[in-house]
Amino acid sequence: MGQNSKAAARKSSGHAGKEKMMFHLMLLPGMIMLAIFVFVPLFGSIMAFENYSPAKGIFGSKWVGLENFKFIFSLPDSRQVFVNTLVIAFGKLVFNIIIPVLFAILLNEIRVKVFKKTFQTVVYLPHFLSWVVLATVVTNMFSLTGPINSVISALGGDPIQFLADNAWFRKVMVATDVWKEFGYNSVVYLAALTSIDLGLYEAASIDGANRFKQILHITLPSLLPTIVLMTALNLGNILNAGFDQIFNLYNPIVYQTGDIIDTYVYRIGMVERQYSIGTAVGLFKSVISFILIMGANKAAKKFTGSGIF
Amino acid sequence: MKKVKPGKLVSDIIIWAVVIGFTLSCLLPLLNMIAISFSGSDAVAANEVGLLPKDVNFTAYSKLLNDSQFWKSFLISVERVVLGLLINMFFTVTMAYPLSKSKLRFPAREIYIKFVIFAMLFSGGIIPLFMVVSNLHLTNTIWSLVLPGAVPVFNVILLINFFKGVPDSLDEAARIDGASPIQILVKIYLPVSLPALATVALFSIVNHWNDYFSGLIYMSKSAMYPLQTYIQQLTVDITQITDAEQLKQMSSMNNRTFNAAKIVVSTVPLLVIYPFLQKYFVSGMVIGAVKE
Amino acid sequence: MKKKVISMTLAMLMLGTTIAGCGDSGDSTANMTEEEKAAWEEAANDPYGKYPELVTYTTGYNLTAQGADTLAGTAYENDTPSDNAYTRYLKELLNIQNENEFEAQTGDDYNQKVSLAIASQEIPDIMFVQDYSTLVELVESDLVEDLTDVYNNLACDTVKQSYESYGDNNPINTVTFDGKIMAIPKTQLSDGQDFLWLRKDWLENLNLEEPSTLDEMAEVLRAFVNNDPDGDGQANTVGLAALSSVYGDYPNNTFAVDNIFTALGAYPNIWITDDDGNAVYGSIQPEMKDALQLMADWYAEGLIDKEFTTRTNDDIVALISSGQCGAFIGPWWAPFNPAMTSSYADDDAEWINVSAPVGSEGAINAINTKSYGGFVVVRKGYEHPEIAMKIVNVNSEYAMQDTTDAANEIRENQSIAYFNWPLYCQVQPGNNAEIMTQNIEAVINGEAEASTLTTEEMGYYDSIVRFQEAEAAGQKADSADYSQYMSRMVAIHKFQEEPANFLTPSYFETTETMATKWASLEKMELQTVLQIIVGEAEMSSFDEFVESWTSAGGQTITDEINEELSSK
Repeated sequence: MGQNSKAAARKSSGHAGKEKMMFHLMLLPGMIMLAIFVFVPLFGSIMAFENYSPAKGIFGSKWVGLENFKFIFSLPDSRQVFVNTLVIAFGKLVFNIIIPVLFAILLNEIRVKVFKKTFQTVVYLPHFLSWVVLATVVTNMFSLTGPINSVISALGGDPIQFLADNAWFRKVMVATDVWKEFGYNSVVYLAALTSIDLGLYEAASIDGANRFKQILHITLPSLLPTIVLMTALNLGNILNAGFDQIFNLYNPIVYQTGDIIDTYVYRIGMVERQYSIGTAVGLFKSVISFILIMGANKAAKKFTGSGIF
Repeated sequence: MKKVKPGKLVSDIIIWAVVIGFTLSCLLPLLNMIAISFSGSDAVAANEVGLLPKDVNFTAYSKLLNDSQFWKSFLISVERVVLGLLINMFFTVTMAYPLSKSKLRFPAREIYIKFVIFAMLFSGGIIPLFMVVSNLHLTNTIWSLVLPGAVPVFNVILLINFFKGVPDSLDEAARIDGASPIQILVKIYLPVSLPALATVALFSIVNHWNDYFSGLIYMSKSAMYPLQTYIQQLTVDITQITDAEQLKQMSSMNNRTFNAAKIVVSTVPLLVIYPFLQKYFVSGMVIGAVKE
Repeated sequence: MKKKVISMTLAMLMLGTTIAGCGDSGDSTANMTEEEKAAWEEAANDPYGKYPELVTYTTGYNLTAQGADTLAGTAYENDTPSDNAYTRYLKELLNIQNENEFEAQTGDDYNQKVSLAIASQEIPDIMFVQDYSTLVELVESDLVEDLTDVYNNLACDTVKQSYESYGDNNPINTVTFDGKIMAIPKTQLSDGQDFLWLRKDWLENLNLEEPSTLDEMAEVLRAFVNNDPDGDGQANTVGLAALSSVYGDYPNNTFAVDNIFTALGAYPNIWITDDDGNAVYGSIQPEMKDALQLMADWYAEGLIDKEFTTRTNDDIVALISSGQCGAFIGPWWAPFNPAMTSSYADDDAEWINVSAPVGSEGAINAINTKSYGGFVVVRKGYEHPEIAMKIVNVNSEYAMQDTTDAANEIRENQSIAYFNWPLYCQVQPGNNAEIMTQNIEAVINGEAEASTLTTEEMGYYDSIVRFQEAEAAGQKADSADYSQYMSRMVAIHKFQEEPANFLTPSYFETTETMATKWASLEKMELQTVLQIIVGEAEMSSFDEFVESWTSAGGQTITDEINEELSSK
């Protein structure tokens, strides 16, 4: 904050109290909504410590303490499932930032408005296709007789069963997810790009900076706050590796690398609905996410001087 | 006439090639889907449909569009999106503005923000939320679709960050002139944040339009389902039908053609809205000009 | 004070203010004359008795997956789940009317609604529940009415005989808790044995006999893969289609290959009775090794689709209907799914169901399904529990035999298949599909009048006649008619001609340990089985699997099951 604003803050110290009051008032309606629809239902998390049955209700089910958590961590494959989730989610996190940013920057370089808008609209659409439908497209793409293996064969390689190969499965999951979402994810960066002062480019151009340098020194730095923000927010999803996608594409051969927390919990629930275990897992995921996001905020503060929130 | 530098030409070619490559990779599956939705069931089942439809027919569409419930649900969805958008935007803006202020000007923000982040990450699950909504007597009303998600926390945080980017100098001038926070928000912040507002509005619209689950939980009659809830539960099952007319009609479609048509039909409204919001992304805002 | 207000608000939001909302539960007979009382009494004690006044019951309504467009343009355009052919019929006959507390599509959507209703302690007067575990929960929490008297006094003969037709597997046993009948079970029809479905034209092209044993089956598959059965000069055919889950859910899991396992005496994925009379898990028995060895050999040779582990159901259908695959294992109604579309690639495509592979006794070794597919329960304290039984009576017997105009609406609605009967519970003998085929055949052969057919049979009969007429006229029949003919006439016929050996699993339900540990055990099993089949693991890994399965909870579950079985 500059000198000016401090001076202004002092000057208007009478206003300051009033302003704070106004701020509280503006936040009040939103906080009430959150209280009713988020914080009150949070008491339902008690289920995680119970052997919940709908017929007995939240307040009538048997209290089991930390049993459900102990159960989750005692499963023979909990470690494997946890690692799979982290690896896949991390891959998605990284590339779901890099590719949309790259695309937004490149698209921004295209000055023909009609094309720019058209491209932007087309890439935004795959977000709306569900994985149930896309699964057929993806399995065909990666099948032994599919286009990708045709290229591999043409180049003299051996065909690969990508979706039945533990060396490839995670990579394919990350790649196809990034493909589906990059257009939609780039929206926020395109919005951020609008705030760049076009004069900066002109000045740089006069100084003889080429396009690559302009991108590196003007475009990218101005996107940085948004990139940091999106990274931090997406950290909250580090334990969500994408149920719909994996559920529609995996098979027991690749459980070893592809079975994630959500698919695993889903299969537990298939035998008999397990509200308590589901809630316990959800609670666990939330706690981890919260810690990560708060940590990211602190790190960002230390690193850049200002936090994300 | 300016001379085009060779370096620029090369980079232009590369950029266009990459962007077109990306775009095509998205376009082809979309065309495939559209082709499938117009194709005969046999051709689709045999994976014979590429970018152009085979055995063209409109059965899947006529099944969807001739259904009176489809249009009822469509209207419910429109109502929900409009109402939900207004509510979302109200809460997004009123929460983001105070929270975008510094700790010095608004010390309590630190506590608020923790609550807000907490609310984004934690949830009590379906059953407790259902019980709250049901005990407020909101089930079977449009409010059950828009109130539980009234505060879109993710959008609030996005907007906080956009607001933070607005130079303090703009704000200060107005404060010295005695403008109230609400006046400053409406007269100064909102007009310069149109790209950001368009972004969060888009996210709200998409969320409301695509959400099928709340309809399923809170609406006890299918006559009250919003569109996505209604169509996601429709499937083609000819094993039960014995009526000759029905059978003839149904045999030219299967679940894959039907699902493709469902996606096309339900995505078109979003496609119509997008260019409308898009224009806010390309008009370069001059916020940077006043930056310190 | 403040704290108290907050906790009160909390409690209100979470628990609600449902202070006994059973409005009409007061003693409604109090102000009646003796005559009126007698009339009500009589109605309540007659399987088809009509109430003196309209009785409204609340319920949950099961919807089909059809879009309402099927009703467009018919007389039923404005029908709703509380006012349609079925509900009007019931109102006319019994003077009862449903009021739906929720309506949802059968399956997950409906089950979700049931859970929410139970969780918010607001269950309807009468409802259908799908899962056995839900039934147990309702019974244990004392939320549902004892229906023993209602069943004994009011169940019609069709219902009683149908249940009895299941023998040891009688669904009534399942709903009996401490000697009390707590629900009316919906019957699950037997779908008989799975068959090997083969391209008949390919068999003819290659001069092959219909196979019977495993070796003969391998011969046919080998020829299908190697000898260019479609005669296009290209090696573009694959062997047997198979599901990536390999087996399970017999027999309704098209493309699952259970029959190969059972032919070698292995019964994976179910609980079987060993020589000592104890329940043991089929997937860990030594016979599994022979079956897995065979599968691995077949896979290595290419007799099983090389990519079976990654194919979705749609992918397999595409493989079959594009003419790349001419062999799969599936139930009698398989022509409804993949085979019917196979004519796309090749107009000559014709299918045949074959009883192969046979076991040591020369027949297909098949597995019986459970005999129930859901339950009708009545809310504890509901005034007219007998309504549940009466509706099931009407659905299972009365309406089926009603040839008057009153049942016309029902017949028409059945052929459109948009609405379901309220309560969604029909009780039929296990071999109902077979019985229907026999009745239809009798009419086709001129041994009976078409008027003897039930509404459902009539629809199939029409379809089959259309197929035969088209064939006779040398035209290509409609694919849906072809499917009806192939499944109901050709396939079901083999139930009688080539009967299978049926094994009834010793246990169908879920134990306490199973509820939480099964996913983990199942994962172990599937991984091992698939890895052995595709050659990624040695056969010795099977022994390791058996060991870890047993110690990771399998033994506990086996003990639980044996304890439960011996206590019955």
